[in-house]
Amino acid sequence: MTLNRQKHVRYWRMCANILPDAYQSSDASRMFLGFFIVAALDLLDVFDNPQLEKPVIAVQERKDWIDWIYSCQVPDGQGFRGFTGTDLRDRRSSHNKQWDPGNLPNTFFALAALLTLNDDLSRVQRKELLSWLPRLQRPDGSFGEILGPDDEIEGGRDLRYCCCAAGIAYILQDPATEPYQSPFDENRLIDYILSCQTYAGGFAESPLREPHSGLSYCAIATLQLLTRLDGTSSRRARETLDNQESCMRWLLERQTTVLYEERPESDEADSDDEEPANNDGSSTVNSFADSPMYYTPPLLTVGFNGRDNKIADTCYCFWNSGALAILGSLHLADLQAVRRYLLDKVQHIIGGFAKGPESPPGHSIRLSGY
Amino acid sequence: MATTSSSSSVVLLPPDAQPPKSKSAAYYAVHPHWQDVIPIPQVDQTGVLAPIAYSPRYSEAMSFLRALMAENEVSERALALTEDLISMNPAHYTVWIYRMRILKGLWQGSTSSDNIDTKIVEINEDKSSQQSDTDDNEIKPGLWRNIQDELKWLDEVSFRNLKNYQIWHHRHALVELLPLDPAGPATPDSPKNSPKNRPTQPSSKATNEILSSFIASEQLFLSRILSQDTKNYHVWSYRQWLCARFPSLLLPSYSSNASNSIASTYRTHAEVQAIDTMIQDDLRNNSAWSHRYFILFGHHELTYVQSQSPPIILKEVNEQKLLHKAGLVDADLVTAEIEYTKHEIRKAPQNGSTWNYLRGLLRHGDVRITTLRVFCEEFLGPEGDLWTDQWVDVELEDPATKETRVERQEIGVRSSHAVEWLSEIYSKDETAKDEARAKECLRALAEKWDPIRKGYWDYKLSKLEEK
Repeated sequence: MTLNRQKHVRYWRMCANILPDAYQSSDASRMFLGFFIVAALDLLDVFDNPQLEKPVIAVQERKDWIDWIYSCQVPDGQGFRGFTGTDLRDRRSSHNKQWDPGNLPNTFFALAALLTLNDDLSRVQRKELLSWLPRLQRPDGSFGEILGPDDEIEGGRDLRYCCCAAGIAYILQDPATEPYQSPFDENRLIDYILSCQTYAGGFAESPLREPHSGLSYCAIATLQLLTRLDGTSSRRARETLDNQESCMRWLLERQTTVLYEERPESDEADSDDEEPANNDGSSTVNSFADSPMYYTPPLLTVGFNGRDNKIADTCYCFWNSGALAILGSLHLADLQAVRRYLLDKVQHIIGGFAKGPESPPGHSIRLSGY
Repeated sequence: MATTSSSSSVVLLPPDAQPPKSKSAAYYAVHPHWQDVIPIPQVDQTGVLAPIAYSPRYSEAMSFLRALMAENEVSERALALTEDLISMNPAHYTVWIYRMRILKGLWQGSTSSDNIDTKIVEINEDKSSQQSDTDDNEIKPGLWRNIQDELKWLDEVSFRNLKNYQIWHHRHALVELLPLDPAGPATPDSPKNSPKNRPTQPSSKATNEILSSFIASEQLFLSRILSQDTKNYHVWSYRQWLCARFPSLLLPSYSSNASNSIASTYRTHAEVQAIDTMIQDDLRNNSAWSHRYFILFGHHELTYVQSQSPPIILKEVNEQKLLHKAGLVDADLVTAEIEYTKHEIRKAPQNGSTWNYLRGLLRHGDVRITTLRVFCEEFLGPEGDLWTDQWVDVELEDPATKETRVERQEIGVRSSHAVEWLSEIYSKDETAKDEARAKECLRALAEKWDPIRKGYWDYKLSKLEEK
């Protein structure tokens, strides 16, 4: 099976037109959704492609998208909103702006989307944004999501925000300005990242929590971004990345043939057979009980999971592969088997990618197609 | 009975009308209690990115929410609006914060946002701003009742939105209003819970009863919600935070003094038993194993980190064996847990969660991996064979009837994790180093037991061959 490019382009074009009301509960992350739409179309080579008979995205539409993103930049330049839903418009004032704040992760996605659309970022209020960023960093080095009433840092302290903060600094750094000045405390950030690494090797959301692929990606990606920022900590970030044997092992451990949820009729006590449930080596959760360990046929289908003993999910192909790639160890994974998973199991009939082999394509708007 | 507003010909809903179930019916615009509010519509110009087909109910509620936020309104109707909005979009990142503001205002009997002194309600603030009418670390019964009511509402919302983060943050914010645990060390998420803020007097009997009753109902709630989704990451994060916030009520005490070791008693502790139960229900619940590490060992590591000056980071504790150097490890507890884990591994030798937990134990207790050689070899084939297939048909003869039957028996390698550990053990064991066997383990993994990770096993092999 191959990537059905046309179907995917149609799917993303549909998403760009309108998202159904089931996405209402994702309204607050429209910037995030928007970034994935733009990025997917870009990966499918839809922008500025002279080989296309007719443009998929009109020039005006692209300009409109850029304008919409800029309309989400809050008036004092302290970040971008996640959605126009908080915009208080002409009633916004210093007394109520806490309800319409810049949002850290969505600011990163706004900048990334602008870059993907080939905008020159000239309308970004760089100075204000870079002075807002450190205000979201806590004493322990972690970042929050928004500044709430009384300028309290709100939102969890998980590694995703740390990654977005580093991403913003990376995008907005001006190579012409010498010497580079970090907008926040990079050393503390590295301290925080390291404190999130578990005995199993993977990184968790916060210290002593359960390791998770998405968060491990964020840890590794943040360190990588710090090496590129040429700040005071880039050497420490580099050394840290060069010493991730246990993380690499943990990431590779995430490859799994368990692609399906447990089927109710199967009974562990009776499951005497060591044969995989399907002839491509894939199996159900139940087969953990006597997980086959003998040599498996060459046409294996392997996905990635996010944590120990969980089933494969499309998005983890990205998180795990991405982290492994940054660590220079992607070649140690069985990529052919992962390709088979993506193209045979989760590529959806209408385009897009699903979360698992029996799901609808909605999940693809998150990450999978990307 | 519907009424008509005198200034227009709009037919209004009756004053007691509740938000409708219909996704398209107007509500706030035609409700008598909302006529004074000028909604702020959302305007997205044409060609917007990621447009969503909102239901009219949602668009309307959002327009009214913006209007109230613009005025910082604190009122019962504002509270009701946040509840309505949350039912349609619980991931809205300011509505929950706004709700908390409203609650604090209402609980103080204030309807003006400007007058809300959040510090009066947050009794656990730094002592430098202590209010004179609030006792050290006590909680007024009225506030406690209010918190309980909000928690009850939040419980139900949590069941309907298992994947939502903001719900747990709100819960966290509510619980932060409760008195400190006198034994509580600092946790990153509760800076108020720092040693300098620790109350100097014991709490009153009334406060202790409130805390006990709160913990009991939280434990019940957590077990109910985890039964719906046993590995929910947000729930486990909250559970871990709650344990650190109320350690004397939720955590077994850790002692490095051998005569005070909890090794013989810890299994009867409530939180340990709760985790034991979850593990018995599903041996492969990685979240339960992760929490087990936290309650028995991780919490102690964190406490140590926070007691140090100059500051250190968590990673240093284990890398530099700081707990050992300070004589602060409960070796008997580590030993007891190693035995427990071995027992669980034997039930399901291919379970990654148990093997990783064992890694954590060895690290915390500074126990050498080579001490597990004999244990790991239990999972190999006859005479330490590394290649035998898992199942063998064995012909058995009934001694009485002389009838033979064939039975499938497990006699070969039963755990790729054991083989992996042995490759490390054989190359590290000072007394019985066996590099050749270490390499054979890796080859067996690459070719037979774990070919998915062949790339990794070959890499490890090349590293051994370099030496």
